[in-house]
Amino acid sequence: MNKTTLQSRSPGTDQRKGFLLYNRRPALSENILESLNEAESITGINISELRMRLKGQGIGAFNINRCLNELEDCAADLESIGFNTATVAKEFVKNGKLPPAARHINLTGSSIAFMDAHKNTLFKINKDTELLIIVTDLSGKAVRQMMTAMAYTGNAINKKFEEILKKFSIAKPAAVFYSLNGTSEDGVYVDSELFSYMGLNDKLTHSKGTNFRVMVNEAIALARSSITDENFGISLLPGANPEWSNGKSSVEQELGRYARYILAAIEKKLLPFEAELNESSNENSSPSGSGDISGANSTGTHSSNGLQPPPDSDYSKITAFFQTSLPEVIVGLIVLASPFSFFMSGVKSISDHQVFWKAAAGSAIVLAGFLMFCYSLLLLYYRRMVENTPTSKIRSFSMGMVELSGKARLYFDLRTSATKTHCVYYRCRYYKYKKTNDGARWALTRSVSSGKIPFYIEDDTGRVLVKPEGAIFNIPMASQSFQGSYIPTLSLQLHDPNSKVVEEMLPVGARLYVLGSAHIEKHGRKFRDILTDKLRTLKQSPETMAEYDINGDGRIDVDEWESARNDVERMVYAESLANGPGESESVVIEKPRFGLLPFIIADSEKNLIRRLMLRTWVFLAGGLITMGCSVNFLVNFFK
Amino acid sequence: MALIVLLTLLGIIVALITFGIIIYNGLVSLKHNISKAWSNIDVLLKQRYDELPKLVSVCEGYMQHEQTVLENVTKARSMLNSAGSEKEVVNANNAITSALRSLFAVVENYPDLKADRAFRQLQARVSQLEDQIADRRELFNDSVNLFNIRIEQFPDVFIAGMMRLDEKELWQIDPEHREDVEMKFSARA
Repeated sequence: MNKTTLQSRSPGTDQRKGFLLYNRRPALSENILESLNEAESITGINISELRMRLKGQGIGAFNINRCLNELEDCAADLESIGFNTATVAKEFVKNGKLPPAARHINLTGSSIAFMDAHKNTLFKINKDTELLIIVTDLSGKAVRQMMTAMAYTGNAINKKFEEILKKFSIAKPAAVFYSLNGTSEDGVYVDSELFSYMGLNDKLTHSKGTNFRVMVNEAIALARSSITDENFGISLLPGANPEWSNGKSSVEQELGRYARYILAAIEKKLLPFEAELNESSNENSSPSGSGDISGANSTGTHSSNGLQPPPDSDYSKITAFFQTSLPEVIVGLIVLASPFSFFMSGVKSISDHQVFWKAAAGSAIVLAGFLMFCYSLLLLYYRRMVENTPTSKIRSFSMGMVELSGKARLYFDLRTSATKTHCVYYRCRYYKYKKTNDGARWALTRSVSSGKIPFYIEDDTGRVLVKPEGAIFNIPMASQSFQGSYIPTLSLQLHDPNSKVVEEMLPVGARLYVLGSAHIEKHGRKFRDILTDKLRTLKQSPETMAEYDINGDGRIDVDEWESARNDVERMVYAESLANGPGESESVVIEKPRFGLLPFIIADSEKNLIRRLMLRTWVFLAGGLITMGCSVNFLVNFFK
Repeated sequence: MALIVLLTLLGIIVALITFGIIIYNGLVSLKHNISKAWSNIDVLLKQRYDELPKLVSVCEGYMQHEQTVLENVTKARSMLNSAGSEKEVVNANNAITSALRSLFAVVENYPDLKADRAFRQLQARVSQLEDQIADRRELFNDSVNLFNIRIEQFPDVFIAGMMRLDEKELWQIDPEHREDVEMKFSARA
């Protein structure tokens, strides 16, 4: 699991969140002050306060298989800015695989030490430890059993250990548990609808239910692979529905069980719940737990994955038409306008013009009905087209109308605006909680969209570029929301009950169906020459070349050169998009250049056909009924 | 009341006629999709046809004792050249595929040939074409299948009847080509 966020059900009810979860983000920026400055500019919280919050309550919880180096860098960064950090070094992880070496615990009056089978100390926590960062897994049986037994049942196996654990927990919590509704009777509550799926990346699907389950499974796996193991791992879990006893699914039941454990642990004062509450209540809003893998570095010339940033586009453009076609909007407007005409016909001041307004209303409805009818036929045509076009393999499709099926892949380094998650399309809406005369409501303050940025579609035989300009998108977006703001460079989410972000995206790896026209595109004036020049420049720059020396052997091998060349090609192509059409050739899928031929991007052919069929019947019936009634009205009216 | 009935009937008739036109156009496009799919295969067959003499020429230098295999390739190629109907083209193509499989199997016995750069390039090219032909054959069969289903489905069956559309044949592999390649290696000199 890359990051999790516990969400409160309503704004303003939760003042207890104070939790920073460092979680698998690539690296802090070279100068931590820059990140803190950025955080300050985003949040309006001054740097010293931010540092306090960073220091206040936090823990590193990492999946060791994916981020050892980054984690150590992170730990070094944090130590360099003054954190008293306890880090388990990666050499204690044998071959990067679980389970690691922790098998014994040595307890003293002031520290707790974890040791391997040979009684070598791996890791020690003392009362001064401010931040715990775990690179290795400490879920050796002995640790797990003791901690689980104590936290879950309150029956300490070893009194001394319990005391130290309590000290450790109170001073530097291993995790913070949220009572989102403010009372412990409600337990830990997380509404799966509000749950944040940030960072699921390739595992992100269109189904909220699936995302939820993936998140839970990942969380459980993560909990089992760190010291937070099970009892503390709950902080990574999305919580439980209070009505867990009625839960239908095993997931909910399991979450319910966890929630009860937490409550038991809190009641037995094994967890620093009250202490934190007092601390946190002094703050208006505290950081809320989250982590990120996408992280920073989106502003560089090229990102860690070697992709170029997307070309400039109108990021402030609200793409409300993105999933609704223009004819539907026009028909909708006419239908909406018709009752207005009727209304106007009844207005006294223009009662002299009643006949005109009624005739106008009737005609408008006839027109609306006719448009609905025509539109239903267009949909029917599209449906037949989708049904009648066989799916091609990318390796061998021919030019012209083509139907492809595969997974979305990045062409540009496109990341969402709020959480910097990789995607091929996104739309973010920012809300503020505003008090009005009637009460309070969420008010939309800003809406940002990526625009239609080219992306690849990939099947098992190859990949091809899709230029989605002009496409009808008929695809459910994956969405997530969180309250507060997010600082990607710090992988930090700051909770703010008065602001909300709703982020919708088409994630990388999403299954796509594309019906469009394959063209050979000429682009990039003297593309080949520009490419050659750029490659020559690249070769002449040892510093840049060194960036592609992935294995660090001092020379660029074939694969590394291929990677460099791909980067340069992308860069030249991005420039060519900005500079207009040119001479080089590549195959792209785009909007057909003539006629009514459709360009549709959907999640699957089956779903698309089902939706088109439904819409066809709705518009056909609606159009015929509307036309019939309105013509009848007009005939009677003029009789 | 009568007016409403009249208008409703009129609407339904217009809808039916338009629906009929859409079906008609759909069937026409399906029919031409098949022609297009076939033509697209033809393009690749032609490309492969052009590559075969080069391949045989390179192999001849090394495979003095495998003349039969090479002759089979040449023979299959000339079959394609003289093929007129779609069925003959299909048969010729199947023969080429089979001959090539035999050739590539036998090549395993000639390390020098396998190491030859020109041969490797030609082999990769021909294999790539083979893959593409297989993909397009699949697409062709999909197109034919869609067409065959459509012309028998309600209500398309009425329009298809009026258009006198007949079922098209799928591109099927001859049973003999489904068998494993039999490899007989001659003793090397």
